[in-house]
Amino acid sequence: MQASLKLPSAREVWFSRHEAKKQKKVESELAYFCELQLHVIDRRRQIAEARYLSESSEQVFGVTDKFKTSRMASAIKKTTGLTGLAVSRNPHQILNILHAKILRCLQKMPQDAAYRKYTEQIILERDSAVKSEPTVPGLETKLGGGQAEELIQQAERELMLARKMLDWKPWEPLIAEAPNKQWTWPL
Amino acid sequence: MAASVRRITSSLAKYAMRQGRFTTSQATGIFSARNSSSTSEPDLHPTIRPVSAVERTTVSEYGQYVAECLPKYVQQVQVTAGNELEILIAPEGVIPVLTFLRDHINAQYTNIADLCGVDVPSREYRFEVVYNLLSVRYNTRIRVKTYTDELTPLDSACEVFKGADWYEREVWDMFGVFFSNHPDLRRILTDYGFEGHPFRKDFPLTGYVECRYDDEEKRVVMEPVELAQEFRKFDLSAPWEQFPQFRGAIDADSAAAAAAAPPQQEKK
Repeated sequence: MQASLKLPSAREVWFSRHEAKKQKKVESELAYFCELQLHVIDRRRQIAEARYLSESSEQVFGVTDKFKTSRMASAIKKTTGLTGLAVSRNPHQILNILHAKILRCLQKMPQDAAYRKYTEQIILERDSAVKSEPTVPGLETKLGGGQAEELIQQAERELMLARKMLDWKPWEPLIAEAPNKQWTWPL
Repeated sequence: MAASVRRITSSLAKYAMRQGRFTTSQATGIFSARNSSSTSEPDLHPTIRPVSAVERTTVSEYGQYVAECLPKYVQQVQVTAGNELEILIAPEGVIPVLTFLRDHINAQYTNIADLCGVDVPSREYRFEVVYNLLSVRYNTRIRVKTYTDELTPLDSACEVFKGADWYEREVWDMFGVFFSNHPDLRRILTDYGFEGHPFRKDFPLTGYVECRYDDEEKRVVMEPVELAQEFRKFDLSAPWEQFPQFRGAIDADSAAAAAAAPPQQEKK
């Protein structure tokens, strides 16, 4: 019987090895290219995140400064010093809006509600300070409640609380008296 | 200033105490005895923490402020001997009161320091749940207390304070207080498959089961607990008096207890 084994010729061997090398080169180039693309995407994401964080206070309230005038470098502080709290470029504007919202929300509560009285007192005091002090450092020292960004945070929280209070109505009389001897100590 | 915001509370001085709900509970005779003698003589107890009357009035005024803002839920306000403010609330008001204390500008108790339970079996609602809050801005602490029994659920504080998560798991595991709307309420300290709630007063110190490695079964087995020594109860009373400074107080206490007991027996 004839041997059915067909040995490849030298030309065929060379050709197959050449093809393999070309394939490997193409694959490595493709891998490098993909790596580069991922790096570029990452970098773009980082830049976008940084931009978002610095503009987050504007975006959250939908207040856009259309007329982006050149601002003095010294007027805007570089950092709040607090992780995750970005510097706000127009705290007075935001605080005015928030205080107005809180006061509008408090109007819906009964006049004699203690929460309404004291919160109005606090917010009006803050509002007058914001309107009288045009500079940010001056506002911070006058109110003494932390940095301007923290004041914004506090106002946001108070607004959320006031809206929840409209549902809970805590000015009503006591909902449940304590059971007998519940709080006596010693027994 | 932060002080200016707190000064608002001083205007509360003109608001009278509401319906006797506000009490300042002096702890025992110790502090009142010391207060009366310290004004004239030099301080003979320098290692004991000095009592500050100004701090006490500030704290109690703030307690009045909270009670006035939330009359629907606050049942009682008290100030302990160490000038610690405690707000005692109805269980329906857990979320409103905690949200108020976290979000209100004049409160800002943003940090939950502790959440624990207390078991007092003689009460109708035997479990007390205690929330300790810290305000970083004003550097003050406050305590909020509610009550519940074995079956009534409490609202979970997790939507107000994320840190309450594991604390509530611990209270559930140790006492059996159920928290509704908790993200993940399961045991945290006891063994898997452990039955019982160990911090309850009727759960024995040794527990009910003990475990050992069984050579035949080639695994750890749970068996009813067997103690090598039987339980010993010590009578700690001595023939000599223990508190010579409080002779009058102790006799008065025991006399009051004796006077209270017979009338009840007569009624029965």
